[in-house]
Amino acid sequence: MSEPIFKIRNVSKSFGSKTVLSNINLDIYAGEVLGVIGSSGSGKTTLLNTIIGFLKPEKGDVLFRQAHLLKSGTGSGYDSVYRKKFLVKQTYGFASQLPSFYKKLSVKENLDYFGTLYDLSKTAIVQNRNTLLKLMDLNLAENTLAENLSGGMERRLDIACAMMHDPDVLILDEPTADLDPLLKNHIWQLLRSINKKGTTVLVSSHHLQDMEKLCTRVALLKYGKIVDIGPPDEIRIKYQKAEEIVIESYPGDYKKLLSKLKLKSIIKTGVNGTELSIFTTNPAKVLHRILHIVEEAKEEIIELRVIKPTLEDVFLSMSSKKENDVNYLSADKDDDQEIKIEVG
Amino acid sequence: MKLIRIINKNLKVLFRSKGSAIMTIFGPLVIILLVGLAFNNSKSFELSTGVYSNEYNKLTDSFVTNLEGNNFNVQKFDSKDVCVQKIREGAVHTCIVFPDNFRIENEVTNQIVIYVDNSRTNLVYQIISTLSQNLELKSQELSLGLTNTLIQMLFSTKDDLNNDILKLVNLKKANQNTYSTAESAMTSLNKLDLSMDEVDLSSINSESQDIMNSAKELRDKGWSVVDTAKAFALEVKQNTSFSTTDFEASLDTLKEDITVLYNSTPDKLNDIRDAVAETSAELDNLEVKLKSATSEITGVVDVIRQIRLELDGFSKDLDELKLNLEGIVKNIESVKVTSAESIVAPITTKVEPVSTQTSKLIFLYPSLLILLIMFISLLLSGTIGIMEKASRAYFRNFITPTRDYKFILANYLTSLFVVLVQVIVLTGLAYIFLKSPLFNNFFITLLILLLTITIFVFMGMLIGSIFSTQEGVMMITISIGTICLLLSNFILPLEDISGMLSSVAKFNPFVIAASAVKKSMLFGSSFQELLVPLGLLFLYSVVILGLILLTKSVSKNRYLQGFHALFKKNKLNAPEDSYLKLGKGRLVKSKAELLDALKNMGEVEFKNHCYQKNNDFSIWLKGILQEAALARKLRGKTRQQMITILKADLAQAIPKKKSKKQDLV
Repeated sequence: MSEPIFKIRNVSKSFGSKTVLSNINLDIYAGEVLGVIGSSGSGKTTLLNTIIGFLKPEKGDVLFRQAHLLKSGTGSGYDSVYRKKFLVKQTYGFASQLPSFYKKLSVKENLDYFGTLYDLSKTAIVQNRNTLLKLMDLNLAENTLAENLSGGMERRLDIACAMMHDPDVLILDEPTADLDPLLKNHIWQLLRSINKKGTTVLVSSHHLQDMEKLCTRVALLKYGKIVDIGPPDEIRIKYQKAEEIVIESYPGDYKKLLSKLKLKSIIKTGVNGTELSIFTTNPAKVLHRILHIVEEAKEEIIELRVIKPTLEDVFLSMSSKKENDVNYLSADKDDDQEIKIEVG
Repeated sequence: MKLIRIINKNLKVLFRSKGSAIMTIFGPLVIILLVGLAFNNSKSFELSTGVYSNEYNKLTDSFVTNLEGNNFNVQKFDSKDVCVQKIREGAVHTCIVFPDNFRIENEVTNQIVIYVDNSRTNLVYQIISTLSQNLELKSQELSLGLTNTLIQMLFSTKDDLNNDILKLVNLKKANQNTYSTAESAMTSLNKLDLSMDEVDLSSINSESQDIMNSAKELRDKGWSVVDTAKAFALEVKQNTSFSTTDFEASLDTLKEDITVLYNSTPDKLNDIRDAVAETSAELDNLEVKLKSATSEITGVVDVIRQIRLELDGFSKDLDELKLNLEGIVKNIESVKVTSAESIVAPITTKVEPVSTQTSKLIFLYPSLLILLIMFISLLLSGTIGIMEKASRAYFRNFITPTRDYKFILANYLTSLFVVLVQVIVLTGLAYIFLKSPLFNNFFITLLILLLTITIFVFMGMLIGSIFSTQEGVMMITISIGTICLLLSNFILPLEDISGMLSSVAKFNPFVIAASAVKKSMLFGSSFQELLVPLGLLFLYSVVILGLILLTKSVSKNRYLQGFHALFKKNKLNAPEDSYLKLGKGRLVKSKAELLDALKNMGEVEFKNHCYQKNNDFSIWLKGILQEAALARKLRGKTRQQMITILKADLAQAIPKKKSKKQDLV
């Protein structure tokens, strides 16, 4: 792996008495998609804002590699983003949780405006704008006022604004928040395309399943600390504790089935509509047992599947464990439905 | 390029936001239009006045007619009390009470009493002034008549005196002629010589004898000549043939004549002697008469001398009289003020406008212009500032490599551009319709306007950078505008404001700017004359710009801190796919909504969500909103207890500092 673009060293940041970031150390490498995963209030946004120099930490520093960022190849040292604010601003594009553009300007006007603020030439502005409109699928809406855009288009425009100066690093804070699944997919695909073009992507999100597919590495942030960092698969395996067995049978007397299923490895059970879910740390044994019970009960199996835990499950599991609340993982797999079932 | 793009963006954002555009651009223009229409006349306002007199006569009627002719709406009342009461009721502005027996006569003091409502401070002085002026005019008209009569009499007397003086001069001239004639007569008389020399007739006798002797001698010689001639004739006769008879006869006749003449001489001499004796007697008689005449002449000369003396005295009297009359004329003429108008009003005040303009709007125009500039600049720059801050793009502007001063400069230029356009429109309209002196001192006026716009734009920008809500900006903008307006001549004269405040008000940029524009536009003051206000305006601009830069720096830091709070606040709501679902499909996305739901929830539904120690609410709060502590508190609690706990939690969740911070960001 090459020298990192950004080196975050011992960064601590507080707001009043509340410590938001505590001794953060993180490297960001060229070409990667680094995901920052953390619950609300874990410090994701603060971390991203600190990396771009928007917030200054009380302790530590964020260094950026000038030679890389300048694309000049002259120099190889690192400099603090807080000392070279203007230089570092040329090198990243940032899309925050809230789309940041002028609602009263059209898509094209917004792009042109921000292109100008990045000191781009007229030619570069036109070229970058056209490329981005195509990339973001905003061609047809280029003359539409931003206030008339849909949620997904707003997000794409925001990313386009962040990309107008063709930055080396694109930083996105929860880019799919409040978007419907279709739009979320669109955004993730878009980010993949951007990354394929060579842009380093740093993204935070609580849509962990998507992050798992997108990111080359993920950093788990909890209470202002990075608790782990690595490729999603490694993390998942590392923290994997339970798998879910889902079975749908007919006539579906799941109470009877569960009364016969008494294994220590079963963490949690629940009925979701016509399906029975069983969370276990030993799926092979439970699977064997449940098939036997179903056969005995003369139930007809309609569907049977084993679901491995996602990164989100791992993350939530970690969170729950830290909080000594083991039940949360199973209860929160499908929050509302699970709750309703349990109550019923 | 960057600057132009930011300005372009500002204008687009401003004009595409209908509310802001209307409020900041068309609003002030409409206000100015209304104000302009209200003040666009050269007349005073229409006053209604009540009058009361116990008896209306020609004099009171003439006053009333005069008032009506001067835009007063005059109402007659039956009593003074009713008239005064009508002022209190606002039916009339003032009440005029004429004195009893109101007429112009000797020993009568006519005092007209004017009642006014002094609670209307902004109107009372103008009412008093206008009314007094009208009544004074009528009073002067009456005095003028009386004085004119007096003056006519005086000048008629003066003309008579001048005629008398002329007569005196003629009289004196006649007197002098008489004096001269008397003197001449006296001289002539004095020159008369009536003396007569003594006539001596004693030599007449001897002279007579001498005449006799001479006559005898002459006879003898004649005789001899005749004898000689006879001898000569005889000889001739003898010697010649000539006859000498006739000749001899003639000689004999001659001889006889000589003898006769000689013989008559003594008689004649005697006759002469007699005549001389008579003459001598006559001369004696004449001498007596002359002596008498001389005596008479002396008497006449004395009389004439006496007359001269008297004429001399008369002349002196005439001189004295003339001098007196001339003195009187001179005194009359020395009355320099000879016109009745001047005597009635020896000192008149003529309000001479320093400007040739007549419309009130033109006089108000500089103040109106600055008023427009003040409000538009404050509102516009404040609005642009707050729109920028409230904009989603504010954050993105922060992270672009653009210096703060460029945004400040762009905002300033945007506001300047818009305000200038409005000023051009307004001045253009004023120039076309009011014939305003737009091009009087054009460049100096332009400089003042630019500085004024700069000050108020900077003030608006400062407000925009301090406050974070449109309402806050509007409130403070209107407050500042109102304060500037109150501490100016626009509503009440500055001189009416108490001492210290008046001193402060003189430094009010609105006052300075309005005064400077007025001086420049209406009076054509030079650059040197306007150096002080221009300097002050410039100084204000620099100071406010300094404050903007300072505030910008502070607010930027606050924004950075507030940015975190913003996202934290955003997290108060659960993600859309994690809302808590309650009965009847009701969704809860925040603690506040949960509290609301609990309040309106029936006990059956509540029990459906709560079981044993755990409950849906705790699970949702902990799992979704990450409120583990609150979730623990809600476990095993009744609905009412949950409501109390949530209320307390929400009350804590909105710290005072936060609200303050949000307002300041």
